[in-house]
Amino acid sequence: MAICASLTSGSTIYFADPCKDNALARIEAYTENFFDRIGRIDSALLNLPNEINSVVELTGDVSNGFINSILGSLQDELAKQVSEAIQALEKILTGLGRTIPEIIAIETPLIPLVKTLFDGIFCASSKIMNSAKDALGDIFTAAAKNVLNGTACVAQEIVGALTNHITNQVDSIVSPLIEPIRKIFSAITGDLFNFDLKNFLVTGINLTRKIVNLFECDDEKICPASSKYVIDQGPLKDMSETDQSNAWDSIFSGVAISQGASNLATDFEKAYGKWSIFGDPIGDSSSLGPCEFGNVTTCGNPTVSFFGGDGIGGAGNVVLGQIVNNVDTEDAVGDVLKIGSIVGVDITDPGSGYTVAPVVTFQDSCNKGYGAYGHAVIDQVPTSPTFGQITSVVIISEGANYPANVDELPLYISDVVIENPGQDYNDGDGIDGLDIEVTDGRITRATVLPGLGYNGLPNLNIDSLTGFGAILRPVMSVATPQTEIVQVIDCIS
Amino acid sequence: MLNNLSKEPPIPFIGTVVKFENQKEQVEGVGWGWRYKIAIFDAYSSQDAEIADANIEYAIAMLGNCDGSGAADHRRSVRISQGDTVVGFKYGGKRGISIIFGVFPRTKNTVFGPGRFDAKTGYYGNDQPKGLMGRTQEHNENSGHVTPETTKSCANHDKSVPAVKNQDSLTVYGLGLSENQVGQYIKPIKKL
Repeated sequence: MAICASLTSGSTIYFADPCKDNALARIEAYTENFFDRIGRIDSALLNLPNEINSVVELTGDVSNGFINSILGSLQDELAKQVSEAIQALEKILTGLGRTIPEIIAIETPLIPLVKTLFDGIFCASSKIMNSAKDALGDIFTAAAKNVLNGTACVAQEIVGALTNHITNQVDSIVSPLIEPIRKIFSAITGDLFNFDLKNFLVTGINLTRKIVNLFECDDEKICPASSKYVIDQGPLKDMSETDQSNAWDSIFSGVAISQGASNLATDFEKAYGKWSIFGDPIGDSSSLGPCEFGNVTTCGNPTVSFFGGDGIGGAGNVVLGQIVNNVDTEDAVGDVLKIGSIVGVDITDPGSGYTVAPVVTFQDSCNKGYGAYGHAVIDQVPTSPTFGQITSVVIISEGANYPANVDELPLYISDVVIENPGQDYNDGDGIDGLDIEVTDGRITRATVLPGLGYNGLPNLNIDSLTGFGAILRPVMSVATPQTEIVQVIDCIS
Repeated sequence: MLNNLSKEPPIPFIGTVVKFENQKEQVEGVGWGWRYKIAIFDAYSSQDAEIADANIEYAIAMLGNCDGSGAADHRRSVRISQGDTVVGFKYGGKRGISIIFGVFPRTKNTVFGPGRFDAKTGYYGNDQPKGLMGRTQEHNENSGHVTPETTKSCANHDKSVPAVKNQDSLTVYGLGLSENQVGQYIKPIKKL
C-alpha cells in the first residue's frame, strides 16, 4: 500500500451549514472515511479501537441531533393527539348531559399522567443519547466484519440500525407512560386515544422539519454553496436537502421492515434489526434496495459538478484527453485499463440564474484522479438569450490519473476564452489554428480555424515579437469539425 | 591577540568538526557568523581528556565568490555538519585565526563512529530527514544519488486499490466473533 503524506488527505468533512440539516450527509462522510481507513491503511499502522472510537464519537454527536428531532416530533404528535382526545371527550360528555364540574372531575386524573408522559420524553432524550454511542460501537464493529467500501447505502443501513435501536429505546421508555392515559380514555369512550408509538416512529417523522422551522422568523439566510470539503482536494457538491429527505424515507422504510420482522433470531437482530452490512439482507420490499459494499469493480469516467453562483441546473460531460494505458500495478479494478486527463467539459445543460460563475469540481467514483481544475464562464449580458447561463468551462489544470473508460478521439478547440488580452501585439501576430484580431495592441477576438485536432489541452502561445501577457484558454470538444482534419497535434510530446 | 598575520606564514590544517552538542551556542544561533569547532589533526589527540571538545576554539568558515556576503540579500548558507572533515589555514601563527576553506565530501563508504575524529551523522536538532530522498542519504558522490521526489498520491481513498478486511485486527482486539452480540464493542470500566 502506498504511504500517504497525511492519513487525512482525501477525507471528506462537512462544515457547519446554517441552512440545512446535513446529519445524514455527515454520517455518510464519516462512514466512508472510516471504511477507507480500516480497509486501506497498512494493518501495522491501524489502531482499530481508535478508529471505531473516533467514528462512534463523530456519528454519535451527529445522531444526537436526530434523536432530539425524533423525540421533538413525538412530543408534538402526542400533545396534538392528547389535546384532540380531550376535546372529543368533552364533546361526548357534554352530549351525555354531564356538567362542567363533572367533566373536570373526569379529566383531572389525566393531568399528572400527561405531565409524567412529557417529563418522561424529556428525560428519555439523555438516556437514549447515552446509549446511542454504545449502539454505534456495536453497529460499526459488526459492519467492519463485512464492509470493504463505505458507500452511501452502508451509511444508510448504519443509521437504520441505530434508528431501530432508538425506536426500541423510545418504545420501552414512553409506551409504559402512554398506557395509563390510554386506559383512562378507553374506560370512558373506547377508542379515542389509540396512539401507535412504533408506527409513528418509523413512518410519521419528518426529520427536516426542525431545521425548516429555524427560518420562520424572517431571518436573512446566508447559505454556503456547499458545506462538503475533501482535504487536499477542495470543495465538492454536497447532498441536497431533497436527497437527504429521500434517504431518510428509505431508512425509515427499512426500519419499519426490521421492526415488523418476525424472524429476528438473536438479541443483536432484535436490538438493531437485520441489515446487509451485518451479513443478513433486509427484506426485499425496503426502498433501501440491495447494498453493495465490496471492492469497486467499475470506476467509470469522471463527472463534473457545478454548484454555487446563485444558479441551478448546470450540467455537463467531462472531455478526456492524453489517454494512456494504466500501468499502476496496484490497480485491481479491471476496467481501469486507461487513464487520462480532463481537458474540457461538454455543457449538456447550461442551467439558469447564475449571477457569478459557479464552482466547477471533478470527481471519479474511485477517487483515482487528481489535479484537474476548471472554472465556468457564464453569460452576464442582460440582453443575451443565454443570460445567466453557463456557456463553457475553461480548464486551468488538466490533472492526471482519471479513469478513462473511452477510446481516445481527436479533440478540437470549439471556442477560445480570452482571459487576458495582453498588450503590444501586432496584426501579424498569430498562432496555428486560430485567427487573432488585435485592437490597440490587445487580443480582442480569437476565431477557431477548422482543421486541427489535438490529443490534449494545447497551450495557446501567440507568436509575437512585441506582444506579451495575453492568456488564451481553449475550450475543448470531441465534436466533429465541419471540415476535414488536416493534422492531429500531439500535446504530450 | 597580536596582529602578526603578515609575519607568520599560514599553517595548513585538516580537522574534524566536533559534535554540535559541544558547540550548541553557535549552531543554535546564539553565536555569530559561520564558526565551527575543529579538532585539528595532530594538534589535538584523539582523546578529549586533555582538551575537551567544548573547549576547542572556533574556526571561521570562508565563503566562495558566488555565495555572497549577505549584502543585498545575496547569500547562501554554509553546509558544514558535525563529523565533517574540513581543510583550512591558520593565519597569525599557532595562536592565530583558523579559517575553513573547504570540506571533504563524504562517500557511500563513510562510516560513523563515536570518536573525536570519526564521521558522524549530520542530522542534529530540528534538522532531521525530510523523506524527500525516500531514505536517509548522507554522502556526496558523483553517482548514486537518489532523485528527490514527492510522495506518491495518497491511495487511502483510491477505491480502485482493493480494500482488505482487517480480520486480524478485529481478532486481536476481541471484536472478531462470528456471531454479533449486543455490547460486543466494550469500553474500559471507569473505577470511581
